[in-house]
Amino acid sequence: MRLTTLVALFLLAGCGADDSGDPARLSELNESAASLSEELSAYGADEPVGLKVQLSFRSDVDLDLYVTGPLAETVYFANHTSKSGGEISRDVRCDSEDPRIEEVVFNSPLPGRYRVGVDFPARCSGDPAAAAYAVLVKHPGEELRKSGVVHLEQFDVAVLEFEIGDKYKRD
Amino acid sequence: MQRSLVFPFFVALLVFSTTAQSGGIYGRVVSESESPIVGAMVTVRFGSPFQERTVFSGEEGRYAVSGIPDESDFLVRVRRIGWQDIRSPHSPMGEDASATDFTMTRLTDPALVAAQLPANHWYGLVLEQLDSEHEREQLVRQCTFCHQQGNAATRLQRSPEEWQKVLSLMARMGGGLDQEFGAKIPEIFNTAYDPATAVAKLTKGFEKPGFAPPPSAEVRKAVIDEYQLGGRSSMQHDMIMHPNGYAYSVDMTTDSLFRLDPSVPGGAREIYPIPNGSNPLGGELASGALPSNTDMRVGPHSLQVGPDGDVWITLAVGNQLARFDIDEKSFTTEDLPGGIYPHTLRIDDRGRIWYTIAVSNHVGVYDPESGQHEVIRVPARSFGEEVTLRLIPVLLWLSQHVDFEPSGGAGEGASLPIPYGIDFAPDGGVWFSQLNAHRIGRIDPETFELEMIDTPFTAPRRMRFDSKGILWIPGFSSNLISKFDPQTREFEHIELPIEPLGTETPYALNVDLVTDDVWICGTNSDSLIRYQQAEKKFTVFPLPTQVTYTRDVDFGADGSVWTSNSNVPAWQIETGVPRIIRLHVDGNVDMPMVSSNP
Repeated sequence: MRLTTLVALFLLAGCGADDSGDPARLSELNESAASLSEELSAYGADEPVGLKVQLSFRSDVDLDLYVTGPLAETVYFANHTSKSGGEISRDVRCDSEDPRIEEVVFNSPLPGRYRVGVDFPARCSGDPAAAAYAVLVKHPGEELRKSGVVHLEQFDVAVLEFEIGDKYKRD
Repeated sequence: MQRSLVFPFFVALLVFSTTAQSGGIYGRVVSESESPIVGAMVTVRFGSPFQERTVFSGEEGRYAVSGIPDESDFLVRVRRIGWQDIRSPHSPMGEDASATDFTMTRLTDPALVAAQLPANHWYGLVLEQLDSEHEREQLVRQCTFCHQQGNAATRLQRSPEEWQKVLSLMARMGGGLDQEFGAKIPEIFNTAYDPATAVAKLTKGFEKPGFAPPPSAEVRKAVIDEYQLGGRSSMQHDMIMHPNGYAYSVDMTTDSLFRLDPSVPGGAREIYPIPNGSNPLGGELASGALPSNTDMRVGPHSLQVGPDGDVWITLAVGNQLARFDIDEKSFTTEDLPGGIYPHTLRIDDRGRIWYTIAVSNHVGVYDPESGQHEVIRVPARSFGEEVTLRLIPVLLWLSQHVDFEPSGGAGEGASLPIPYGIDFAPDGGVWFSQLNAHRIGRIDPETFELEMIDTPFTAPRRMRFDSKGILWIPGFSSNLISKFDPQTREFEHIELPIEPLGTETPYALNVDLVTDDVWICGTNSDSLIRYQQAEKKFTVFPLPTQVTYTRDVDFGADGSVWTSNSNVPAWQIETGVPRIIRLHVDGNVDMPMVSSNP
């Protein structure tokens, strides 16, 4: 339970300042997130066949992408495929090669609600308490972008939610 | 499937559980050589949302399912371990319908047979590798908190790096392991679940008749109904049978109360959204690691019926109690004056709401008549734990404003005591368990004086008194039930008979006060387990759906036994949706139920 983590840390290690609370640092993170978003748009500008969701982040952190499909099953680093056809490309960890992009693809996406979550489970270098990210959702003719800041060990389960129509309905 | 001539005998059988407007299906389950298959589960699914009714084939392979609405198309599934499932759509059958026989085919691929086994068989492969009782206990208690271990979604081989990330995530969700033990997990699980060895171990002798024997004739009389309730992201944490004949269930992840009318074929459902104000996802004091598909903002967790018939609910992450007026169909809520995470509740003879408060180690009591609250602090195990517990509210507040150093997940050493189950003795004494502290306690209902008792077994969870004042306690990580006599203060343990021995995780039990039978959740084995005190006899009732993770038991006025499937995530459940479940032991399903109950 995270409560225990907090308590143990308070007793054993103390706590550090939330650097994302510093306006200058927050501004820096937001700029970084915007920059990630631009880089992500330029990366692999191919037109997807189905639905592609990408998460981009810097090399000092390990972020995780979670994509929940219309059957409410989530594809992420520990559930590589879903019954609704989602599949994660790879789990980008601290020791992974660049680019630091995680990707979930649905070749024939079911119609319905999708949810994108971003978690910040661990640092790779330095001591960032917050991290910039960018999410790009692509399906034919449309793009959705979201960028922002996530905090260490705080799973933002719904950074983005969207609907897919029945255009991709499978047989 | 094949049709055969009408057997008058089977037509007679059809009357056992029917209304004037319902039909049925009957026939035999046989092998390709026409030998009868005894103990096959014949499940009929109809309606949307669906109801599934399951019976067992008897001697000569005969089965009969009734209670299917006349106008309904339905789907039949026939299942028996070692045989290939049959799924067969059907159209409504008239009164003169002929028998429908099913011919099953033996599975020859051991991997397919292994896949049919309940999760606990697979989990046994993990547990058999552990030499340390401390590690075994820790693994069982911490890693089956929300879902089964050994089901198809969890019996995976993973890279060591992936395992470490999984363990870290699970620790943030409340299931932490000692760091040293956690480091061994990748090898333990990857070895246990290596298909090259696992399948052979699990299916040894599967081609012989003694493998996966049919349930006893007594069990084969049972009828099991499962009602789909909620959606694919639902978690039907607890359910109760109301004296008015309706079942109520709390959906923790969608902040909803459900009502099911089982007197209607297929079940009639109503949904009541619980007010969740402007709470963020996860509640005001979100823990930092939520299920990815949750919409939980108040988290209804446990429910009971008050003396006036209203339903009381603990809102775990909303830190409130809720009262549902069953006539007005409206909610009122009551903020807790202290404590964090109201958990399981019971209502005493005076109408007072008693509830465990899991995170902050309290028991609360609220008197709706006077509006008075009391929050009783439960003793910690040590001075350090006491300090920790008292700091939790401050730390939770701080955590939303200050970031802490990375933890890599909470370790077992830091686990909270967690007050859990609660019930009343015949003398009015309030008894509760502390799951991680391996203790039970008694609170004097008048003076609130408190006494703690160490249990000589691990992980006492949801416990209940029988009619004679004996407290029955499930040992979640100790594969047993224990009977505790409050007069003599003696415990007596009874090991659960689930095979392979030692693989069960009994989350809860309840005592049918009419018979004093003890009913136990077979949480990791897709089963309900009955213990008959007089005969000292266990009977295991297999449940039809793979990954049936159960957390509580209740009883209908007609003697039926009820529970809910609340595996999290729901996508691990076969078919991906939760159900509430009714077991009729003797197969005598009386309908309509509402008119037969007070």
